[in-house]
Amino acid sequence: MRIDQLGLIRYGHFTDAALDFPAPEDGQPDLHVIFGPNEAGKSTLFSAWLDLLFGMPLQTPYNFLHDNRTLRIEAQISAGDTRHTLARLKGRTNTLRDAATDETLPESTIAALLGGLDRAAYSTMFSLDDETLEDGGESILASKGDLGQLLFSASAGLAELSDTLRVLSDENAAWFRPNARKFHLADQKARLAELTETRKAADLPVSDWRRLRDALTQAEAAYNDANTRRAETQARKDALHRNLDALPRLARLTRAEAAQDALPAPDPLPADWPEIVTRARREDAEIAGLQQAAKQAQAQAQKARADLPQDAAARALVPEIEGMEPRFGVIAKEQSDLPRRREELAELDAQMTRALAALGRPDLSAREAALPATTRARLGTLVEEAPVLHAALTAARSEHARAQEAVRDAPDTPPLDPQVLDRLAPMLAELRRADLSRALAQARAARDEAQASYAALMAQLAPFDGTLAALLALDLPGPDALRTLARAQDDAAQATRAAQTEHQRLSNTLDQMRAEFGTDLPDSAPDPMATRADRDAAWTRHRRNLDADSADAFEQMMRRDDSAQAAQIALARHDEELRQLRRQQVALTQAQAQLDTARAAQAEADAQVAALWAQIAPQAGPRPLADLIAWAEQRRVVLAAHDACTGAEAELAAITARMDEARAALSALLSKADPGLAQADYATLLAAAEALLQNAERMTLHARQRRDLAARTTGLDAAQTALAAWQDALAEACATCWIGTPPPDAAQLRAMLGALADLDRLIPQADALDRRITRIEEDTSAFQADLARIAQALDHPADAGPLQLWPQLRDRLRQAARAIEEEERLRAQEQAARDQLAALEARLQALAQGLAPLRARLGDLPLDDLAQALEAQTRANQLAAEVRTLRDELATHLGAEDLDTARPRLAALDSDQLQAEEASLRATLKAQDHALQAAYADLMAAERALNEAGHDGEPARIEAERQTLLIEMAEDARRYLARQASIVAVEMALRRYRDTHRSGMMREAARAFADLTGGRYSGLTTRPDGARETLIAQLAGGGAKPVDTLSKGTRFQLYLALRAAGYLELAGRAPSVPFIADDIMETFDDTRAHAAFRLLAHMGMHGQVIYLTHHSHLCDIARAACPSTQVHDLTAL
Amino acid sequence: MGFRFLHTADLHLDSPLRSLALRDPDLAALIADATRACLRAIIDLALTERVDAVLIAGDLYDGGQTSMKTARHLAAELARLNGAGIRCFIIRGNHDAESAITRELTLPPLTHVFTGHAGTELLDLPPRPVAIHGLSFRDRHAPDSLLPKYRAPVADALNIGLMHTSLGGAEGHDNYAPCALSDLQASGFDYWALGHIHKRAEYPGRTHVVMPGIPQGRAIDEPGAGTVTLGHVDDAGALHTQTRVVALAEFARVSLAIDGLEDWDALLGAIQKTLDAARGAAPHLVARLVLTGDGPLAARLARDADLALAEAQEQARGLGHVWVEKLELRLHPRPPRAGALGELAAIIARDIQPSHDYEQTLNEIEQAVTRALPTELRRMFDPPSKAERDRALAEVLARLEQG
Repeated sequence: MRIDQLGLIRYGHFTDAALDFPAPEDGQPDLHVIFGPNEAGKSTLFSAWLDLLFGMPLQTPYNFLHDNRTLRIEAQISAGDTRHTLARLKGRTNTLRDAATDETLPESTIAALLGGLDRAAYSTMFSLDDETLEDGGESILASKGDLGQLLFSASAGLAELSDTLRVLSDENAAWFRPNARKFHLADQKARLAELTETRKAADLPVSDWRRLRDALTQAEAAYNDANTRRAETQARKDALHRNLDALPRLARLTRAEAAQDALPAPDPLPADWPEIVTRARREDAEIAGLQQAAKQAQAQAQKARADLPQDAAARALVPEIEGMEPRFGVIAKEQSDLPRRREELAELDAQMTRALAALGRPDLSAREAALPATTRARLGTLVEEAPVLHAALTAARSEHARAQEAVRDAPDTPPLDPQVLDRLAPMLAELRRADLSRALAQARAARDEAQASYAALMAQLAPFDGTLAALLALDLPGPDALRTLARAQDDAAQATRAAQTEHQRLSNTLDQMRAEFGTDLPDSAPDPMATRADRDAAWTRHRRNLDADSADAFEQMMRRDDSAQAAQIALARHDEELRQLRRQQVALTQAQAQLDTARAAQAEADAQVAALWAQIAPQAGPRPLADLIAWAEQRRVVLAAHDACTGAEAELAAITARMDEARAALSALLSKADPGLAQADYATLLAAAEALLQNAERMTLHARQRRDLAARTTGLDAAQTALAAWQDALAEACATCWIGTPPPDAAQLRAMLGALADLDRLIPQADALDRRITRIEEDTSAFQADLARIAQALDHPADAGPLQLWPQLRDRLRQAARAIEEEERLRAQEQAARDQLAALEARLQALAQGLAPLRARLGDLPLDDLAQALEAQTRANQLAAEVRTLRDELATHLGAEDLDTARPRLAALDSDQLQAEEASLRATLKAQDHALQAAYADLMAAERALNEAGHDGEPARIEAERQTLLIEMAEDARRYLARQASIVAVEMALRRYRDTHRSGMMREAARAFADLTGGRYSGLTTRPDGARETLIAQLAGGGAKPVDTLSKGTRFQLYLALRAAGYLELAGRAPSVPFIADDIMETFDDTRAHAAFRLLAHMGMHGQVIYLTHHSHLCDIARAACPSTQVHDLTAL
Repeated sequence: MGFRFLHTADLHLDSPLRSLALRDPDLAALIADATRACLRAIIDLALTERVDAVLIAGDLYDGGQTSMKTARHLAAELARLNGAGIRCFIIRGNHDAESAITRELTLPPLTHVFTGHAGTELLDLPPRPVAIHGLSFRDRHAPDSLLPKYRAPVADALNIGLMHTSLGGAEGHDNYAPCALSDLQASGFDYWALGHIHKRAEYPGRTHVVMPGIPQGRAIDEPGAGTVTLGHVDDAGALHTQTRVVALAEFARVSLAIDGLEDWDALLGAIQKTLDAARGAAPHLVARLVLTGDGPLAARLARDADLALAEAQEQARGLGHVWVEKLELRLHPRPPRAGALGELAAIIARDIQPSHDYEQTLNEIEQAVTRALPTELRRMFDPPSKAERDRALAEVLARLEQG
C-alpha cells in the first residue's frame, strides 16, 4: 500500500493543502523526503496520516484553526492495482467516507489494507524517530544481546520488550520464588499458622466443656452435703436454747408468787393517787419551812429598831449639811492659795523698783515714770531709723572715693575724625572677609594647571599639526551629522549588495526564460476569421453537391482552418510568455537603476569623508570615517581645555584689579591723618587701619568714667543732709516729756525704751493681785460665823479653826441622818413578815381539802401513814400482773407443753450442764459454717468458669479470617501459575521467532550494519549462550564484540539496521505499508547519513518510505544517495 | 388464632463465609459472624410474629464443628424462645448427626429434638391439635428414603413433618435420604418442613412442601438473600405461607456489558450504577462483578484488571453496604493481533501451548507451587483453568504491547 496523495483539507493550520507522492519509475526506490522548517507541519502530516487510517481521537490538538465538525483529511491510496480515495471526518461513527461521493465506508476497508494493524502497532512498527531510536539503542543493552528479543523487538518496534518481561517476572516472583525464603506466600503461611493458633486459644472444645461441667456437678453435691449437716446441728442447738431460756423465767415466777403472800389482795386504785400523795407531802414540808422563816424575820426587825440612837438636836440640823459642805470646799482651797498670792505681789513691786532705777529716776513713782503710748511710739521709730542713715552715708563716701581714683588715670588725647572712622570700619570688615591675598595665590595656581593641560592635549591631536587658530578654523560637521553619514555609508553598501543580488536573480530568470521561449515563433498566421469563412463556404458547397470534389475541398478548407486556429492559440500563448518576459525585463532595468543609485550614494559618502580628512591634514591622506569621528571628539576635548585656560587667566586679572581698588581707598582715608601712608602698599595700609580703629575704642571708655564720678558726688551730699534732719526730730520728741533736753543718744534712748515697756506691763498686774487677796479674807470671816452658830446648837466647843471644826460637826449631823433612814426600813420588814404568815395558813387549808377523798378510802390517817398504805396496795397490784406475764411467757416458750407438767421437768435440769453442751454445739456449727462457705465458693467458681467459657463468636470470626486467607492463597497461586505460564510461553515463543527469522533478518541486518558503521564493523554473527543465543558485532579488522558492549552511537546504528531488517523481513511476507521516519539522523555525520539514506532507499524498493526533516542539506545527501529521491517542500503548501 | 409456625433449616451456624471480599477488615467486622446474626434474626422474627412453634429441619451446624461456643450460642438463642413460651422442634441432618457437641448440649425444656426413631409430638391447640412428626439422621449417611419410617398422620389433627432430604437429588448436594416429591405429596401430611438443599423451593398443594433454603448464604455459589418460611394455619384449617428475609449479607454475580463505554470514567460510573441497582433485600451485598461484551476499554481492562477491581471496590465503598469480592472478565475474544506481536501470539497458540516441552515446564512450576502451599490447601487446590491461563496470556501480551 502506498500514499499517492495526502490532502489536508481542514486540519491543523492547513487548509485545502495537498501533497502528491508520485509513484517511482519501475526499478527505482519509492523514497520521499519531506523538507520543512520547524513548525511547518511535519508532525501534523504524520498525525494526519494516522488519523486518516485509524480515525481522529476524541481529543485532538489539531482543531485550533478548524472546528471539530469541519476537520477533514483526504488521501488517495493505492494497494496493488486498486485505488482508494478516502476522506476522514471527526466524530463517533461513520467517519470514513469516499472522498468523491462522500459515501460512508466501513472501517474494514482500511483494516484490510493494513492487515489488521491497529494505530499503536502501526506507530511502533512503521515509524521511527529520535526517541524510538534512542530507546531502541537502550533495548539492546536491556536485552543483554538476546537474539530472540532483539529480532522480535526490531520487527515489532517494541523497545521496552525485555524491560516489560522482567517487570512481569519480578511481579510474579514477589509472591513465590522457588529456592528463596522471602516472598509473599511465606508471609501468608506464617499468618495462617498464627490464625490457627489464635483460634485454638479462643475456642472451647467439647473436652474442656465437659471438664468444666463435671467440676460444677461435683461442687453442687459438696455444697448440698455441707448444707444438710449444718442444718442438723442448728436444730439441736435451738432445742437446747429453749430449755436454757426457760429456767430463769421459772425462778422469777416462783419468787413473785411468794411475795404476794405478804401483801393485801390486789385492788385497782385511781391512777393519779400516788402522784397526789407525793405532791401533798412535798407542799406540806415546804409550808412548814416558810412559816418558821417569817416568824424569825419579824422578831429580828423589832429588836434592831429598839437599838437605834436618838440624837434629837442633830436630827434637827441635818438640812444644814447641804449649805455648808460646798462653801467648806471653796474656803479650804483659798486658804491654801493665800500665802503664794502675797509673795507674787511682793515680787511685782521689786521689779517696778528695778525699772525706775534703770531709767535713772528712782525718785519717780512707777505711775509717774510711765510715758504716754504716742510718745513711746515716736521715740521707737527714731531709734529704728538711726542705723539705716549711718550705713547710707558710709556707702556714698566709699563710692565717691573709687570714682575719683578711676578718673585720675585717664589720659586726655585729642579725638579722632568720626567721619573717617565711620567709613574705615565697614571697609576693613569687607576686606577681612575677602582675603584677597589668598585668592590671588589660588588663581595663579589654577591658571598654570590649565595651561599645562591644554599643551598636553594639543600635542595628542595628530595627524593635525597646525596652530590653535587653524584648529578653530576647521569647518567639521557635528557628531550627529557624522553618525548620519556613517549610517548612510552602511545603508548604501547594503543597498548595493541587495540590488546586486536582485539584479543577478532577475538576469538569471530572464536568461532562463529567453532560453525556454526561443525566437522561432510565427510572426504571423493566416487570419482565422478568413479561414473559418472559407470552411463554412466549402461546407455549404459540399452540402449542396455531396460529391468527391466538394468533399476534398471541404477537407482542405477544414485543415486550413484547424491550423489557423492552432496558430492563433500558439500566438496567444506566445504573447503571454512575451508579456512575462517583458515584465521581467522591466524589473531588471529597475533593479539596475536601483543598483546604480545605491552605488552613487556610496561613492558620495566616501567622497565626503575624504574631503573632511583633506581639510584636517592634507599631507596625511584620507582615513576611514570611524577615525574621523574619534578625531572630532578629541578635537572637542582640546578646545574645551583651551576654554578652561582662558577662564583661569580672566579670574586672575579680576582679583588683581580688586586689590588695587582696595589699596587706593585705604590710602585716601589714612593719608589725611598720616601723609606718610599715601604711598604705602596694601598690607601696610591694612595694618595701619587696624591700629587706628583700636585707638578709637579706648577713647570712648575714658569718657564713660568721668560721667560716673559726677554722679557719686551728688549721692554723698544727700546722705549727709538726711542724718541732720533725724537729729532735729529726736530733740523735739524728748523735750515734750520728763526726759527733756539734751536728748540722749540713740543707744541710751534704746535702753530707756526697754525699761518704760517693762513698767507698762507690771503696773496692771500688781493692781489685780491686790484686789483678789482682799476678797478671800472677807469670805473666810462669814464662814466662821456660821460655824459658830451650828456648834452652839449642838453644844459643841467652837474653839477649833473652821477647817477642823466643820468636819467634826458634819460627822455628827450625818450619823443622825442615817439613824432616821434605818428606822424606816425596819418598820417595813416587820409588816412583810406578818403578811406572809397569813398566806401560808391559807395554803395549808387548801391541801387538807385535796386529800379528803384518799382519807375517805384508806382511813383518816396523817399524811405519812396515808402514803404508806397507798404504796402497799400499789405493790400488790404490780406483783399480780408480773405473775400473769411470766406464766404467759413460759407457756409460749415451752410451746405445746403444759406449764404445770413442764415445771417438774425443768426444775430437774442443771443449768451448768446445759451451758457446756451449748458451747460444744456452737463450735461444731462454726466449723460447719466454714465448710459450707468453702463449698459455696467452689460452686460459684465452677459456675463462673462455665459461664466465662462463653458462647461468643470469636473462634468463628477467626476461622472466617483463616478461610479467607486460604481462598486468597489459592487465588494467588492460580494467578501466579497462569501468569508464569504466560511468561514461559512468551519466552519460548521468542526463541521460536528467532529461529524463524534468523537467517533473513541476520543477513539484512549485517549488511546494513556494516554499511551504516562506514565499514568499521564487517557484520553480525551469533553465539549460543545456554538456552539463549546472543548477537555479536564483528569488527572489520577481525575480532568481535557482544552488542550490549557497543558504544551508544553504534547501538543506534545497530538498532536502525535491525529495524530495517525487520521491515524487509515483514515486507517479504505481508503487504507493505508506508514507513515514516522523522529526522532520525540528527547525530549522524554526512557519511553515515549517506549510508542511512542508502538503507532507506533499499527499504524503498519494498514499500513506500517517507523521511521528514528540517535539514535542507539532508535533501542533497538523500539525492546523492538515491538520485530518484523525491523531495517535497512543505513550505510550498 | 390458629397455628403459627416458623420453618427454617441448614443454619450451618459458625460456618465461615468464603469470599475474598472479607479481606477488607471493615467488611469482615460487619459480616464475619453472619450465620450468628442470621440465627438471631430468625429468633427475633419468631418472637415478634408470636409463632407457636419453630421448626428446624436439620443441619444446625457443620459436621466438623467441634466448638462448644457454637452449641452454646444455639442454646442461648433457643433459650430466648423458651422464655417466650415458644415450642421448638429440631431434627438432625447429615451434618449434625454425628457432631459431638449435639450430645453435650443441654437444650431448654420447650425445645424438642427428635431421635433416630420416628417420633410424633402432639400440641393440643384449638381448634384442632397439631401433630409434629420428626426423624433425625443417626449417622452421616442415609442412602434410602426415610419416609416409610415416619408414623402415619394423626387423624383429626394438623400433621406437619420435618425431614432432611435431598429430594430427587440436587446439584451441589450429595444424595441424602432421597425421596420423591410425589411420595411426600401422597403422604397425607398437611405440611412438610424440609431441609438440606440450600436453594429455596416451595411446592404448594394439598400437602404443602417447602425447602426453605439456607438462611445465610456463605459464598457466591449460595447467592441471594436467605429466607425462612412463616406458616399460619387459620381456624378454618387453611394454610398461608410467607417468605421472610433473614440474611445479613447476600452474594450475587453482577454483570455489566462494557460495549459503548468510551473511557475509564464512564466504566466506573457504569459500575457504580450497576452495583447500586443490584442491591437486594439483605443489608449487605457482596458482589462478583462480571464484565462482558466488547468496546474501547477491552484492551485496557485486559491489562489493568487489578486496577479495575480496586476502583470498583472503591465505588462500592462509596455506595455503602455494597462490596466487590472479585472481578471476572468475560470479554469477547480479541481479534488476533497484526504484525510481529500477532505473529508472536500465533506462535504461542500454534507451537508453544500444544508442545510437550511447555506442558512439562508448567507441570514443574505447578508442582513447586503446590509443594509450597499449606497442607490443608494442597488437597483442595485447583490449578488455573485454560480460560484463566488465556486471560493471563492476553494480559501479558497487552503489557508487552504497551511497554
